[in-house]
Amino acid sequence: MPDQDVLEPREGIDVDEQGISGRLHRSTVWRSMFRHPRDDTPRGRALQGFSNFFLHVYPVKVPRRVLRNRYSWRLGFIAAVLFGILLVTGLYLMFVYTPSVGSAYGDMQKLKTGVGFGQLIRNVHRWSAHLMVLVVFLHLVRVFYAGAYKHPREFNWVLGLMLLLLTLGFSFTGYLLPWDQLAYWAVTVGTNLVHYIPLVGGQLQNLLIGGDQIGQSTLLRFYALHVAVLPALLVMILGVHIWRVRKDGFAVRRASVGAFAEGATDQSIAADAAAPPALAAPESYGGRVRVLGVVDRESVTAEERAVDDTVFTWPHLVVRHVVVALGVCATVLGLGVAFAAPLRGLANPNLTPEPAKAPWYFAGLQELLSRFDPLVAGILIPIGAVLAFVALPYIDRNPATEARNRKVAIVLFSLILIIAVTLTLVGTFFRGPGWKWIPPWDHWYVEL
Amino acid sequence: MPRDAPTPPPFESEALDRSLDRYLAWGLVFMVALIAGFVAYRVREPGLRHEALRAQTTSYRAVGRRLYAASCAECHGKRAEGGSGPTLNAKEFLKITTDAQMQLLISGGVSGSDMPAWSLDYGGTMTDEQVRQLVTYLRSLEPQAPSVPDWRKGKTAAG
Repeated sequence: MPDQDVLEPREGIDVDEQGISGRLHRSTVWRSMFRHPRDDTPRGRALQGFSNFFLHVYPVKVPRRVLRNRYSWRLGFIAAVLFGILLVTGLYLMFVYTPSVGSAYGDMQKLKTGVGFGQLIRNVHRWSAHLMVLVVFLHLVRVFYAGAYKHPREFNWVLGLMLLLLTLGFSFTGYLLPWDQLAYWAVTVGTNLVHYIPLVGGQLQNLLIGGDQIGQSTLLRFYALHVAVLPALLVMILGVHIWRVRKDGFAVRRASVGAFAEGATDQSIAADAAAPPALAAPESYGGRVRVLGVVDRESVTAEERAVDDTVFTWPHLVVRHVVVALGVCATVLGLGVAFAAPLRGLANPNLTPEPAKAPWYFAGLQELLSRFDPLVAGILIPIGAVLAFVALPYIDRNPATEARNRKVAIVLFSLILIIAVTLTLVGTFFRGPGWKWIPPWDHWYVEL
Repeated sequence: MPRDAPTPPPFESEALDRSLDRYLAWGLVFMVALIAGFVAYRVREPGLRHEALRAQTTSYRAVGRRLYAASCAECHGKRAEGGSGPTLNAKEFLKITTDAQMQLLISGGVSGSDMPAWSLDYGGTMTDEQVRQLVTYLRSLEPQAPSVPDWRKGKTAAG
């Protein structure tokens, strides 16, 4: 009985384990928290997965190729870790920050002058936010090239796009909060894009910034979006996103062997549905069940191992994830110690800095806007691109995941990617006052 | 393990275990880096704060001076030498009044006098930051402040 295994895990405990650790592991309190046996057998490992909330996010076993860093570059996981870091550091900042035009900027200074680790936490929050935008974007690129948006993952691709948009929303609303010149003008440039939407543009912009120009209402709106609306949405959608990744087996199906072979899951489900339930209705077998033989547990496992090349998630994948998470934390901490988040002068509506640039992830749009009609560059192209990406898994019905069998999709996507990256790089690095071409080695106009 | 129990056969390759060990070693490195990062920042923090405070004081003093001219000079005198209100540019006043007290006086006003409450919290017009800027400006007068024992009387004392 599986219940007994979980709740009464007497079997397989190291009953002879000596000393304090032995006593601890046998104690009622310990056993109430960790209900799986501690034995190092396939069954013990599997129960550890089944009976643990955190490990339950993972399947018990994953295809061995998931362990390789090169398989996914861990980008989705890194993005989730960065989000976690942003939640924690963001909470810390919430204890200090007031979303008011009169005190927001002063609170930024207070972080510098009077709050323990305040400036460090702000630095880490800022660099993690920029990195998260970058990593989520790279995750999308990786998923495209792996063909991981194809059946049955079409909708998870759409969820992923929503998460990308939410990430941009997070970063953009957070950008305003320091209420310095950088914040004020980057958000002014960014929200002016909304104005170009035909018919309702003006009203939409009004709704977004709460008036004719960026002010107290904008700050309060962006703050509420940043700390309440967007986190709630992102956590919900991220939950579904991760849940689907887990349900879909943590890896794209390949034409390999075993449980992850092409179509294997569908076949076994179909077989289960077709087979009569043996114990409930033995009559269907002619009223008799014959035992053909007793198979020892180890040999069953050995048989499975030969068929599908899988490994136990715990410890192999979980340890790798924890180590990657630590690496991400160490990286953003290093960035936070080395580089201070920028804080320019107090926001001043009457003093436009030159150049007034949108945040870097919108710099490509700003570059487009300088070349085309605002309606085309500011609205049709970005909205068209988002819709095209949403529709991608439904348009691209080719089931192949390997590059040589999906040349059209890869060439098209790569073209769009190159254009987008080029525009962003040009907008971010090569534009100076008056949006003139000024290479970064002549003058550095980049602000993060 | 019970003494007579046989050792279970290994069910995972040694290569997996070895790579797990490599990862755990990296985990250790990252943890050390994390701790070192916090320590490094802690060591740098006092210097950074000092620097930030100095920069802030400079800017606060300048803003505070403008605020003073706009809101306070009418009663306390253009150079805080006193008017219908007390002399603020006085060694005695600045010596016995802490920054926190000054902030409280400006924010909440002085009941029974003409001094109104300035803070937005008490129906005034100034944010906390502006009050702090005023305090910073007044404090900056202290090194050169003349001795005015009768500072409470304002203009009459100074004149």
